[in-house]
Amino acid sequence: MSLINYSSREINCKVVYYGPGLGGKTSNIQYVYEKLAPETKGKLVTLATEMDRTLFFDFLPLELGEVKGFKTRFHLYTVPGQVYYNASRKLILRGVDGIVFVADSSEARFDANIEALYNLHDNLKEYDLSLDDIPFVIQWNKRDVPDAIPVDELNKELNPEGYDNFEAVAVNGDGVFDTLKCVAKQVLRQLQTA
Amino acid sequence: MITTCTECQARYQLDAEKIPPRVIKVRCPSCGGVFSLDGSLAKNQAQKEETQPQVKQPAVPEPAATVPATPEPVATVPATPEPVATAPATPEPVATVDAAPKKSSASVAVMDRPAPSSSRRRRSKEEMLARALVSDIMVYNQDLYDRAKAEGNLLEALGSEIKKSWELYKEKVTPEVANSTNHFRDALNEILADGDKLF
Repeated sequence: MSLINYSSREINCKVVYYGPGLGGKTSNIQYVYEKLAPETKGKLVTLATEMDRTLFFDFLPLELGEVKGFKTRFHLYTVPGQVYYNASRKLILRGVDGIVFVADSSEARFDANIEALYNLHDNLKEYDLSLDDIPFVIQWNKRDVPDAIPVDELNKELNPEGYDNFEAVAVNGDGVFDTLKCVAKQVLRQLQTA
Repeated sequence: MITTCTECQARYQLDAEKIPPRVIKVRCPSCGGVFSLDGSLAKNQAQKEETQPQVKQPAVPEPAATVPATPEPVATVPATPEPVATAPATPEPVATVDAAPKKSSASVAVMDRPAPSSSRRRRSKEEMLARALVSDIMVYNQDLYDRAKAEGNLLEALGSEIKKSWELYKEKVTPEVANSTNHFRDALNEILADGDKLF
C-alpha cells in the first residue's frame, strides 16, 4: 500500500527484492544504487544479521513523471534470503507495492527457488495478499553460471502463470534495470487505476 | 574428461576447462542422481585422456560439469547416435573420430541446452524445505564446506549449522513429520555428502 506524503507531494512505493539466499538481490540493489544520480537517491542502509543482510534505499526517478500531481518515490528493499530468517522477510513485506523475485538460475539452487516462492506466497497470505494483487516480476539471475537451467524450463517450473520475467547477470548489471523498470511500470499502472 | 554417474553408471564427456578446481556436484540427466566430481583432478585426467589414442578430443568444448551433459556411449560405439529422452544434444561417441558436429560455442551450448525436466522430479513441500535448508548450509558456508569435504569431517565442521536447520525444519513441518520421514537426512546425504550415506 503506497504511502502519500502531502507536504512533499510524493507517493512512496515500496518494492521488495525477494528470493533465495545468495541469489543476487543485493547485487541488484547495489547496481541500481551505483548508477543513480546522487541528487535523486537517499542513503543506502544495510541491516546486517549474523549471516545475511537487508539493504534499503529510496530514490525519486525523475523520468517517470507524476501520478495525479504527485511525484513517485521508490523505496527498494532486499530481504534476507536464507530460509532461517523468515521473521525479517515477513516484516519487510509489510506494505509492499511491488515484488521482484530474484531466482538463482543454477541447478544447485533449484529447490531453494521453489522454497522461496512457497515462502513468498505464505508470507503474503499473512497480510491477506496474493501475487495476483501485487505487481510482480521474476528475474532469472546468474545466467552466466555453467549449470544455469534454461529459461524456458525455469518458466515452466517456476512461472507457469507467465509473470513478466527477465534474464540477468546482476553482478554485471545485465537485466537489472529492465527488471526494475518493469516492476516500476506495473506499480505506477496500479497507482493510476487506484 | 570422462566421468561416470555413480548411480546408473552412465558416462559423460566434460570439458575440463569449464570445471572449477574444487569438488562439485553433478546431476545425472539419465537418472537424476547426484554425484561428486573433483574439479582439481579434472585437468590431470583430461591430460591423461589426451595421451590415450582411442579417446579423441571433442570437436568443441562441452559445457561445465553441473550442466546436464549428454550420455556418451564409451564402451560400445553405435553406428548412429541414439536419441535419449532427456538428453538434448546428439550423443557423441567417444571412441570415434567421426563425432557428430556440435555447437561451436560452449557458452551458447550452456544457455540453449534444454534441461532434463524428467530428472528434476516433483517433490513434496517438506522435501523441498529440507533441501532448501541443506542447500543454504552449503552456500552460506562454502569455504568451510569445501575444506571439511576434503578433510572428511563434514559432520564436525557443519554440525552446529545442521542442528540449527534441523530444529527449524522440525518447527516448520512439525516434529512428527520430521521424525517419521527421511527428507532431511536424504537432503543431507544427497546435497552435502554427494549421495554417500554419511548422515
